[in-house]
Amino acid sequence: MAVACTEAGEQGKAYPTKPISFIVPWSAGGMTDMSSRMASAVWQKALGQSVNVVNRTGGGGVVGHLAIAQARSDGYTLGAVTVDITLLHHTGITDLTYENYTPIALLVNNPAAITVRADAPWDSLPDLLAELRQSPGKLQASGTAKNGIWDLARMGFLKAAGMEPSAMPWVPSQGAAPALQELIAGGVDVVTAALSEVDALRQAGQVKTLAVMSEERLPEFPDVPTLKEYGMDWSVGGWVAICGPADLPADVQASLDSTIRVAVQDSEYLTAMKNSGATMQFLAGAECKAFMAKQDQVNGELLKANE
Amino acid sequence: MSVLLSWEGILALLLGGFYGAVFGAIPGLTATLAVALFIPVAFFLDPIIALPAIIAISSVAIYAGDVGSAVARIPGTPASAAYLSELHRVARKKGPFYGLGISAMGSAVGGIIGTVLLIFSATTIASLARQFSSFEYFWIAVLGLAAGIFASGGAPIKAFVSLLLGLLLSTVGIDPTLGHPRFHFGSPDLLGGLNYIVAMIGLFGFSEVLEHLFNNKEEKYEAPQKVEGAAGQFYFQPLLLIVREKWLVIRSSILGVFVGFLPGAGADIGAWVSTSFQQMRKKGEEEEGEDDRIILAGTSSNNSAVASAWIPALSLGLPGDTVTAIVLGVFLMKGITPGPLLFEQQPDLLWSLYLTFLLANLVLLPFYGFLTARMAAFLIKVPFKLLLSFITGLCIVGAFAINNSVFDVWIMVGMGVMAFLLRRGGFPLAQVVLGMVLGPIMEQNFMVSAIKSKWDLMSFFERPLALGLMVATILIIFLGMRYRKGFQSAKS
Repeated sequence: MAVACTEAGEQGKAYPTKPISFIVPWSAGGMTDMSSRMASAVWQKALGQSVNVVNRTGGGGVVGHLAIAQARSDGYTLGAVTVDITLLHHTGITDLTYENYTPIALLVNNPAAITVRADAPWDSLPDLLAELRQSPGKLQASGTAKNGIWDLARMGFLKAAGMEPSAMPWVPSQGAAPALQELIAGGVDVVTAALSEVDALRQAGQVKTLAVMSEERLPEFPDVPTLKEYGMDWSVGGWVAICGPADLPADVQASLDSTIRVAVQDSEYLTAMKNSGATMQFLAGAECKAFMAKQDQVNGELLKANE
Repeated sequence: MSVLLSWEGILALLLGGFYGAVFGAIPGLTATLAVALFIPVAFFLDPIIALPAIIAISSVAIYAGDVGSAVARIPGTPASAAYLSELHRVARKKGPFYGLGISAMGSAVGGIIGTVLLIFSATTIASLARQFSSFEYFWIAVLGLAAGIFASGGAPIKAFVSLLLGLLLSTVGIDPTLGHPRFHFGSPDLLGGLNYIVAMIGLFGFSEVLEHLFNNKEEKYEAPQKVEGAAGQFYFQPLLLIVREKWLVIRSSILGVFVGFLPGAGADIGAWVSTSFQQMRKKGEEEEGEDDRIILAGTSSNNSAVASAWIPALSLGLPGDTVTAIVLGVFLMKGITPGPLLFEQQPDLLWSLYLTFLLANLVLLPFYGFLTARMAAFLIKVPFKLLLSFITGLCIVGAFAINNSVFDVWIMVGMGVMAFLLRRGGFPLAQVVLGMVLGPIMEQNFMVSAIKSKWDLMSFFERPLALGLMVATILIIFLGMRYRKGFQSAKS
C-alpha cells in the first residue's frame, strides 16, 4: 500500500483506463468550444486516453455547468467551466458556484474591448467618454445577454469612468456575432465583446477598437491601448477553465495536472490558439481556484451594485 | 485553383459528401454536428482541403434530410419538414427514385443558382445583409410564420393552431433577452428549453411508430421497385420536370438566397416561404403533379440558401450559423482575413470556394443522391413492421445525440404522443416545428428592437427594409386568404 502511494506516477498512469467525456456548456463553433476541442486534441496524447468533447447547451450555460457538477467524481467526466459560473448564481438563476467544481487549469482569458463602427465619430477612448458625459443614455452597448460577461464589462467600464450604469444602457443579444451585426447595421453604438471575437471585422475594416480591458496590451494587438493607459483601473475577460466535479480524488487530480501542463506546451496547440486570437492564461490547481474565487467576489459586487 | 483539383481536394470532397449523407439521413444527426465533429481535424488541415470537406458535408446533409421523409415520414432537417407529406406521397406513388430524384436534382439546381448569385453579387447581397438589424430579422421571422400557415395542404386554421402550439413550446426555458426562467417547474433540464430537433424526431418519427402500432395497416407502395430504369427515374424525369418548371425553380432559388443569410434559420424559412407560394398557386387538390412542384420549390430554395449563408461570413466576417462560424474559425487560424479584402487579396481561395460549391452540387448531389435513393428503395421493400423497432431505436439515439441528454429522450416520447393526438384531429405537425424554430428568433428580435428604441413601436415600420418586409408579410397573408376563399367556394 505504502509503495503504491509513493509511486504517484504509476497511479497516474493507472487512472485513465477508459475515454474521458468533456462537457462544453456552449454550442459548437464558439470560443469555449473551439478552445476545448483544441486542448482536448492535444491533451489526449498526454493522457493516453481519448477525450471526447460533448456540447450540453441551453439555459444560459446552466445545463452544461450542472452536468459537470453532478457527474461522478471519478475523473471520467470533466468539462469547461466558464466565467458565467461567477455570474449566474448572483442573479438567482442557479445555486451553482465555483465551489461545486475541482479546478484543474485555466486555459484562456479573453479580455473585453470597446469596439465601435469604423465610421463612428470617435477615434479614441477620450472622445467616446466625452460623448457619454455630454449626453448620458444616448449611446447603447451590446455583446451578450443581460448580466452576461460583456454586460459586466460595460458596468465595470462605466464605474471606472465615474459614470452611472445608465450612461450607456445595455441591449441584450444572443452573443457577440448578433451584437456585431447590430453594430454594423447601426442598431447599437458600442460592442464590449472580447477583442478576439471582433478581430475578423476589425481586420476587414468594418469596426475599430478604442481600448482593451486588460492589464497590459495584448501581444497580438499591440496597437490597441488598455483602459489603464487612460487612468481607468478596470480589466475583465471571458475565461475558460477545465474543471471536474467537486472532490476529485487526489491521484486523479495529480494525473490531470501533470498531463495538462504537458499538453499546453504542445507547439501545434500553441499555434492554433495563437491564430484563433485567443489570449492564453495558464493557472493550474490551487492558483486556478484562487482566481475563480476572486472573480466570483469582484463580479458579484459589481452585479449587486447594478441591480 | 490547381490545388483544389489535386487528389487531396477531390478526396476531401468525396469523403465529406459521404459523411454528410450519413449524418443528414439519420434524424438527430445534423449538418452542424457533422461539421463540429470535424473541427479538431479541420484546424490542423490545409484550408484548401478543410473547406471543400465542410462545403461537401453541409450541401449533401441538407439534401439527405429528405431521405427520411421519403422512407418513413421522418424529416432529417426542419427545412425538409416543409414538404414532408408531399415527398412521402410521391415516393409512395411513383417510387423513391423519382421522389428523391426531384429532391436531389432540385437541390443541385437550386445550389447552382445560389452559387452563381454568390459569385456575381456577393458584395451587393452583402451590403444588403449589412443593413439587417433586429427590426428586419423580426419581420423575416414573422414572414416565415405567415408562410407556414398557408404552406400546409389542409385547413389554414388548423395549421395556425399547430403554429401557435409550436410558439408556446418555444417559450419554455430561460427567456433569451432578460434571462427570466419560464415554465421550468424547477427542472434544470427544462430551464434549457425544448430542442426543436428533439421535438421533430418525436413529432414525426415516434408518432409514426405509434400510428402503426395503433392502426396496424401496411402502406402500399404502388410503383414498381425495380432497379432497372432507376437511373431514368432518378435523373432524367426530374430533370425534365425542372426544365418544364424552370421559372418556379429560379424563383424559389432566388428567394432562398435572399432569406438565406438570416442567422440560424435561413434555409428553413426559404423552404417554407417557397412551399407556401406553391401551395397558393395550386388550383385544386387533385391536380396532377402538384406534389412534384411543391417538393421542387422547397428543395431548390433550401439548397440555394446554403450558399447564401456564406455571404455575410465571407464579405463581412460575420458568421450566419454554426457551420460558417466554424469556417471563419478555420480562416482566422490560417491567417486569412474575411471581409472586403478577401475579395481583393485572396481571389484564388475565393474561386476555389466557388468551384467547390459548384462541384458539390453538380457531382456530389447526383452521386450520393442516387446511392441514398437505392438505400431508400431497399428500405421501402422491407415490411414496415420490421422497420418499426429500427425506427424506434433511431429516434432514441437521435434524441439523445442532440444534447447527450436522457431527458431529451423523454421529451421526444412526449412529443410523439402529442403528435399522435394532433393527427387524430387533423392538425399538421410540421407547423409545430416551424413555430419552435422561429419563435425564439421572433421573440428575441422583438425584445431587442423594443429595448433599443425604448419601446417606441413605430420604429418597427420606420426603416425602409423593415417596412418592405412587413408589406411582404401582409401580402402573403392577403394572397393566402384569397386563395383559400377561392378554393373553398369552388369546392362548395
